[in-house]
Amino acid sequence: MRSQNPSVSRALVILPLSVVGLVAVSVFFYLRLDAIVHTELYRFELEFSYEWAEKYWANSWLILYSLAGVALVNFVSAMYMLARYRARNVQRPWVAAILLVIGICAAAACVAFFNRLESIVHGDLYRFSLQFSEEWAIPYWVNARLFLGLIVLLVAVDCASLVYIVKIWSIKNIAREKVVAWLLLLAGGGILFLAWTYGSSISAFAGLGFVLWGLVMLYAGSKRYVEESMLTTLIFPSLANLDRLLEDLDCRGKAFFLPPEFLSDFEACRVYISVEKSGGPPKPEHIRGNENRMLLKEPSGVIVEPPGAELTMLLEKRLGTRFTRVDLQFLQRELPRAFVERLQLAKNMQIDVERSRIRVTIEDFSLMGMYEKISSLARVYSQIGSPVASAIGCALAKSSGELVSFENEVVSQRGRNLTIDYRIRSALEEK
Amino acid sequence: LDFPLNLWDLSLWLAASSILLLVTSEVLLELIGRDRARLDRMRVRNAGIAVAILFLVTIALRILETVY
Repeated sequence: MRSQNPSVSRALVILPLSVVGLVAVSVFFYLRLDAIVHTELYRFELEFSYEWAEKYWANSWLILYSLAGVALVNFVSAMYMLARYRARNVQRPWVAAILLVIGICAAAACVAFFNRLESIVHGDLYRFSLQFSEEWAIPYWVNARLFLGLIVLLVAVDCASLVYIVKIWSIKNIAREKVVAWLLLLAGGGILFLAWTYGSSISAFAGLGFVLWGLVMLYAGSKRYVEESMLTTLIFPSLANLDRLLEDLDCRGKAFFLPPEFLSDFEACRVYISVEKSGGPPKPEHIRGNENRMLLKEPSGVIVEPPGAELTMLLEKRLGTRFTRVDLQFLQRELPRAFVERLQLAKNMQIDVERSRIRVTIEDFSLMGMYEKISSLARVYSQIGSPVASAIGCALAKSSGELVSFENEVVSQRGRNLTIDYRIRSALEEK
Repeated sequence: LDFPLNLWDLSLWLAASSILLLVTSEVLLELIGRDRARLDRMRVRNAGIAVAILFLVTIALRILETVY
């Protein structure tokens, strides 16, 4: 940790220690305020009674205990982070985070007890003959404001420490959204408790807002994200193997995505590539029963599972249907929704069908990073297309129930848009 | 101690929250970039719809209260 970001690690020791200092100063102001109540007020005709004194002392001790708690947890947190700093690792920073959250809760409790104490001084004591005078009230208010100001300041410092911890927290084990969500829930719960105690409707609205957004973040922020480059790294070797296979077998023909009619298993995804450059589409009887073999003798070609086969299944899952059970119009309408809204892979997607030609346009595609590397695989890229192109090809073949040939895949000059062309079987036959 | 908000207050808050959630689900990705968004847009939208349904429930309760 020290070698990577020394200022952050030092801050996590210095900030909690500064909170301990702030607690000490706030205790000083609180004791001055307490002295005003126990000495000055008797000069303004206050009569001692256990009726008010016991309530006052109880709250007074609770304030001091809360402050002691704040100081203790911050000191322990600082020592813990110091030990981590010396050991040069940031393992288990959540220990310090939990301690800081406890500190913030203790400070909130301290404010609540202080408000109860204020209500005794400014309410109950007048029933025991206390006379109001600015002579005692102004010093009292000054000390009270200073005390509360310091409490707010130390809560702000604790919050800053928490932000630092979340910032350096490794995302390997826990998503940052979850940390933020739990912090929101804790803060919301605390604010709601205070709102309930003091009957403050504005605080209740704020607390409900915190709780709602905490719950939304827990529900909507639960996905785990990996770098885009990881995807290319993972899929590239299998694509490279497929590219070498096509090269060795000297397959020069077009790729045909096979419809269910050609397959024994209707839900399977297969693509046929002819050895001959001018090789036409295969017949169902040639493929059916042979789809699990790689090499086909008559007509000469190969049958492979396309790189986007799993993506086709994921799209089916997200749409809650099978492409074999829907038609092309459904695909035209719903596939863009799955891409744009459910998988959030693109800003816009359009499927245009004009007679036998199908053009798929994807705008602002999220996975464009992989194209730079995949385009170097000449055979795969020009004959089957990228994993996305083959996934859409499979979906088109399944929903139309006809052979679909892959024609072309073009990445726009700006490198964010994608255009993929396909043709369906009837046109090929006419040709 | 009573909770400081009544049914009407909660109803108003639910309405405002559902609008906020639905607007967030629509503009979230455009605003911060799809690559950087850590919230699932569809789930935020579902949450917005759920809160809107709760708002309608409070309205139904209010109507029942008025009728009976």
